[in-house]
Amino acid sequence: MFWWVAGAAVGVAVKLIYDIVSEEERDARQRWEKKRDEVQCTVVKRRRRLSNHLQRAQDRWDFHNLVEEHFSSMMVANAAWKTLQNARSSLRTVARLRTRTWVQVSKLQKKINMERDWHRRGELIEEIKVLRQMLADFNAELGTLQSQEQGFYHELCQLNEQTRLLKEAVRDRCGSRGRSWYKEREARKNRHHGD
Amino acid sequence: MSTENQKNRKKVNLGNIKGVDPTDALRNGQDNPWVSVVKALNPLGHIATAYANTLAYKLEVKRLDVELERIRSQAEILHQAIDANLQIRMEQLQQRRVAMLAFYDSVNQELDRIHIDRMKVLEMIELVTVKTLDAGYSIEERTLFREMATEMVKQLPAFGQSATGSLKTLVKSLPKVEIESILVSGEED
Repeated sequence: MFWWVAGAAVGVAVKLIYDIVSEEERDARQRWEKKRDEVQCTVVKRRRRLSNHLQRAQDRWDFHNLVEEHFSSMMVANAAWKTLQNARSSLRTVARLRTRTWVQVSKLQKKINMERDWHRRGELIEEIKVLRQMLADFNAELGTLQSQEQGFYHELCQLNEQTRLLKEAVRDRCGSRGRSWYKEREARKNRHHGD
Repeated sequence: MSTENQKNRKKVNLGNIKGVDPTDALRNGQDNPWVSVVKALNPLGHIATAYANTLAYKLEVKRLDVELERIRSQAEILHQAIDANLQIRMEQLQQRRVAMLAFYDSVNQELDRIHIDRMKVLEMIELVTVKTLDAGYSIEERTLFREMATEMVKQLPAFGQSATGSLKTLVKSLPKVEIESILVSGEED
C-alpha cells in the first residue's frame, strides 16, 4: 500500500514539475518569438527610413548640382554671345567698308568710260587698281571673319542647348522644388523680354 | 541543422540577424527506436528537454537584444554618414561656384579687352579706308593707306582667335554635363 501511495506521490510530483517546466518553456518561446518579430520589424523600419533619407539627400544634391551646372553653362553662354556680337561687329564694319569701296570703284569705272583725257584716264585707272586691290583684301579677310563668326554661332547654339536641357532637367528631375525654380526662371525671362 | 530548417531560415530575411534553432532540433538525432521509446517513457527526460529549451530561448532573446542594439547603432551611423557626405559635396559645390565666378570674371575681362582693341582697330581701318577713297590724296599716299588698311584688316581674325581661345578655356572649365544620361533618365522618370 505504502509503495502504491509513494509511487503515486512521485508521479504527481513529476507531473507538477513537468507542467511548471513546460509552462516556462512556452513563456520563453513566446518571448523569443515576440523579440524576433520586434527585431524583424526594426530592421524593415530602419531600412525604409534610411532609404528615404538617402533619397532626400540625393534629391537635394541633384537639385543643387543641376542648378549649379545650369548657372555655369549660362555664364559661359553669355560670354560666347558677347564674343559672337564682337565678331559680328567686325564683320559688319568690314562688309560696310567693302560696299563703300565697291561703290567708289563703280563710280570710277563710269568716270573712266566717260573720260576722254588720256592722262586723267590713266590716273583713274591707277586709282581703280588700288581700290580693287583693297576690295580683294577685304574679300579675303571677310571669308575668315565669316567662318569665325559661324564658329562662335555654333558654339553659342551648343551652349544654349546645353543650358536649356539643364534647365529642363531641373524641372523634370527635382520634384516640386525644381518645378518652382523653373517657373521662377521662366517668369524672370518673360519679364526681361517684356522690358 | 537539417536542410528544411536552412530553407526556412532563408525565407526570413533579417540582414545579419541569425535565426534561432527550433526546439525540434534538440529532439532529433535519435536513430534507435528503443532509445526513443525509453526516453518517451522517462518523464525526467521530458523535463530536462523542456528546461534546456527554456534556457536556449532565453539565450537567444539576449542575443536578439544585442542584435537590436547593433541594428539601431548601425542605422544611426549610416544616417550620419549620409548627412556628412551631403554636407561635404555641398561645400565642394559652393567652392566650385566661387572658383567659377572668379575664373569667369578674369576671362570676361580678357574678352572685354579684346573687344576694345578690336573696336580701336576697326575705327582705324575705317579712317584709312576713307582716306584711300579720298581723291584729295595722291595715288602714292592712297596706296600707302590701302596697304595700312589691308594690314589692319588682317589683324581682325587674330582678335577672333584670341576670343576663341578664351572661350574654349571657359568651356573646358565647365563641369562635364552628360546630356544623354540626363535625357535618358528623364525619359525613365
